[in-house]
Amino acid sequence: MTGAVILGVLLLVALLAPLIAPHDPEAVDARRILSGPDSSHLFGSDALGRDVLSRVMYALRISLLVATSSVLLATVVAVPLGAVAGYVGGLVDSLISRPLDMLLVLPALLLAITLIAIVGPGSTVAALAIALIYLPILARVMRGSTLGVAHLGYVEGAGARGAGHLRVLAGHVVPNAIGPVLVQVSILAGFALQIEAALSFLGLGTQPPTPSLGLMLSDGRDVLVQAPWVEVYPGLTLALAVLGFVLVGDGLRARFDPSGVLR
Amino acid sequence: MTGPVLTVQDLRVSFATPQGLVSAVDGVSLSVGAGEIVGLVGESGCGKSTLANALLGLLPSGAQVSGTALLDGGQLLGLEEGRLGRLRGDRISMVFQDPATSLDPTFSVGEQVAETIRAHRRVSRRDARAQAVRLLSEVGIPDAARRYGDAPHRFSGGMRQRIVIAAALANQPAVLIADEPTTALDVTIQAQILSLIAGLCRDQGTAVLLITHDLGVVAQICDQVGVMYAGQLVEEAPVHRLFADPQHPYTRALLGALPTGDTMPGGLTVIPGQVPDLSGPLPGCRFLDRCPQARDECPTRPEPVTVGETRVACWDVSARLVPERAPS
Amino acid sequence: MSPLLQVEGLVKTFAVPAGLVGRRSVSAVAGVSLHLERAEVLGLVGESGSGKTTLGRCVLGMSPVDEGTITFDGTEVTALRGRRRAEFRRRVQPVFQDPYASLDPRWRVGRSIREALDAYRIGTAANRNQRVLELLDRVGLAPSYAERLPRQLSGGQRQRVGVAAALASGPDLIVADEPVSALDVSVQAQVLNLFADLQRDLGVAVLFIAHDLAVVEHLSQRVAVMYLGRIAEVGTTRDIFLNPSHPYTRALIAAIPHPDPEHRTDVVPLSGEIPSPLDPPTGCRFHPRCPLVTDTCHSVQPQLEPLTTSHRAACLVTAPSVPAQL
Repeated sequence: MTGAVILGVLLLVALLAPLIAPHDPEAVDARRILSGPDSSHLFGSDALGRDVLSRVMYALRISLLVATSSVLLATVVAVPLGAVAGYVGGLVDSLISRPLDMLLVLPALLLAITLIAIVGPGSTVAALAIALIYLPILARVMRGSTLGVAHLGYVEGAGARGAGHLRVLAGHVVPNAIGPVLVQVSILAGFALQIEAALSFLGLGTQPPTPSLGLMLSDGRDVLVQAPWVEVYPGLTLALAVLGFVLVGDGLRARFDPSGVLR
Repeated sequence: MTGPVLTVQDLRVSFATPQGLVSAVDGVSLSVGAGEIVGLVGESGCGKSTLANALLGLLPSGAQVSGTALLDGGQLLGLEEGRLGRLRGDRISMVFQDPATSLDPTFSVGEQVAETIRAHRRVSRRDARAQAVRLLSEVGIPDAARRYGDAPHRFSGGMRQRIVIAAALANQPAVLIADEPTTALDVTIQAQILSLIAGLCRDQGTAVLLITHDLGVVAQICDQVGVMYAGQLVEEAPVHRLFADPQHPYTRALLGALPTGDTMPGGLTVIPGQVPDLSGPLPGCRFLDRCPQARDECPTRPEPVTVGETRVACWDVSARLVPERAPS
Repeated sequence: MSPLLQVEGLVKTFAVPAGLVGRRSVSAVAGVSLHLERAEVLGLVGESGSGKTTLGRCVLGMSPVDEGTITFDGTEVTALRGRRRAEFRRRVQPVFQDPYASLDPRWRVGRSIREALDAYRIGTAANRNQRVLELLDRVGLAPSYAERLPRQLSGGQRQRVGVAAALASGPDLIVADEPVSALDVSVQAQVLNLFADLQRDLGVAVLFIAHDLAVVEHLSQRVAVMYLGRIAEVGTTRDIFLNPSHPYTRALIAAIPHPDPEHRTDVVPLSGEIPSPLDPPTGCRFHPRCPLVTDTCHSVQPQLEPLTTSHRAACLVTAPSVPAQL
């Protein structure tokens, strides 16, 4: 519940940023270089005199967009793959699972950096890279929970009741096996924010002058001592968003607890 | 003969739940003598396992327990955990349904039996080991000395239950509480385990409280039987009387529901309705709604009456007794 | 007329991991032949590991068979594909053991019962709903149950819904694997009575798989006893219970805890335990536990030999083959 409220507020702020942001996030103001928080600039200004609050609002847009679109993409691909692998088993399972396992053993960040090295930096590529990291994780979770329901009476019986494999998968297997995936998705979305920030921090994600939480952290690091607000506010926002996703994940976990579903 | 080893008087257990106070065991009294096997039979949810766990102090902390349970004359209920722990495995032991979870998978079976001995007796490791080997071979583990060091998963379900029994009887307890000890086992293995429990307990004079849903098991090895329904003990009788002349309508329905080759297919007794919700106020007989013999008095609780050697709590039975007790 | 179901020489093996990388095969069903007449209840009994569940799954078409044939109503079905296979599967329906796993927890009862009607396109959309209510009534549940979720039902009610779902497609044969072993005695009686009604009123045949001999004796016309993947004995219920021939059947019957304290079995009927199917004994698979074992039993595998027209047993000692072995 708390998680949903946090995420709801952050999402609203991100969506309404063009309307509620007090200043243009990219407007440079030479008179306000590294000036502290005051009534017109609640979060202070950065090394170029830009308003930190407005930049955080706009950065949240990019960060949340990259995080959610990446997990969404990974989920859309992983759920059918994992469900088919777990339900059909045998050779089909091996053909799906082995390549995914290989993807899983590669270090995540290295995988992302390699992809960016090939395609070039940017938020779209960052989202794709994160989706690629998450795909094998989510597919494995889906495959595992599919194995858990595939031998149950209502799945095995559906075949005798004349339901074809697609119908069994869509009607019984996916709805009953997807719970653990949703839990994982929510938690991974939180970490996707961090990965996006890390990539941007390294200059591999969102490109300046577009504001992004990672870029802002990178900028703030240079002036941490004389103007901590440049670092602290984007950092707190990032932490809050990650916390929101993780709390929602915990809530889902309680809801999809296997014993809770059955009784 | 000496008096009973275990005496339970007016035992009540209730749990606080979001739906209200659930009365799981409601005023049960029974006793078990040395070398005697008393069966406690009933369907799921009747409170028979809760009763066993109450005696062993194994209920969750929210449970409210009242009544008395005397083991060798000493009160068991409400005993602090430390003193109860010293009794458990020594004076009072238990065997549960699932032998797989009763044994620690990371220790060898022999060590687990020896550990039970050493937890309660001052014996050397060596003597404990020798005793454990002897116990294991007594319960029928072939080649016990060699298999002492094997982990539980290397044994079948029946063999594991034998090992659990060896550990339970290691210190020659006064009372053994066996909760569905053969329910997970095949019928030929069940026969072996029942015979083992009955034989060892008769030899050692152990008092056994056998909790089961299976009237066949009761008929085969028990001396005395209590029938539980929805938390209450509705009938108690020597085993021969219970099967020959059941008094309570629930006992009769239960016996009629048993499939046999002699009943026509389709002709088994069916008890209409459902077990009542135990969180509601249940002042009277709890079988009332499903009873073919229900009477006007039934909404108040029937006091147990004696019919021959049977004690039964039923208004219909009491009413039939009245003419015999001519007014004085 | 040919029997409804005729199984001949059925073999089903599974590959199991052995050692670190190896695999070996285990025969769960090792050459089983049996038949079932129309509107007949055949009880299939045996202890865990006897292969009775695997045999049931093969008959249902849920597991492909490795050897042997299954003939259903005159048609060999193991090689059927497409429409003809769907038609066969429509006519043979399962009822499972665990009433908590046999219904989709997210589907309302009515939808679960409708599943087969929709998939096999039986009737029009409108009269399918009517049919669901009839099926609920058939298993003794009020129409309002169609709108309930499985978690709002007791174990016995779920099992009755499971039977209604199995009846939806109008099967000739129901394969019921331990349908009452998870139920309390009084609830079990309701479900057993229901099976008896189905056979009597609808003429449905039942392959009734169970470990509880009392239940099987009560419900079945004929009984087959399995041990370690093979049929030890088969006959009418009277043959098996009044005149058992195979030493395993005798032990199994002696081990039933009779709910009658006047008839106590004081001797343990059978020592030892069922061996692992990974490493089945040579000769007669029962010989290591058999009280009547002879030297021949170690090497010769007994076949089912007729004792009477209805009664056959696979034992070299109690049912020797008619043409003398010497």
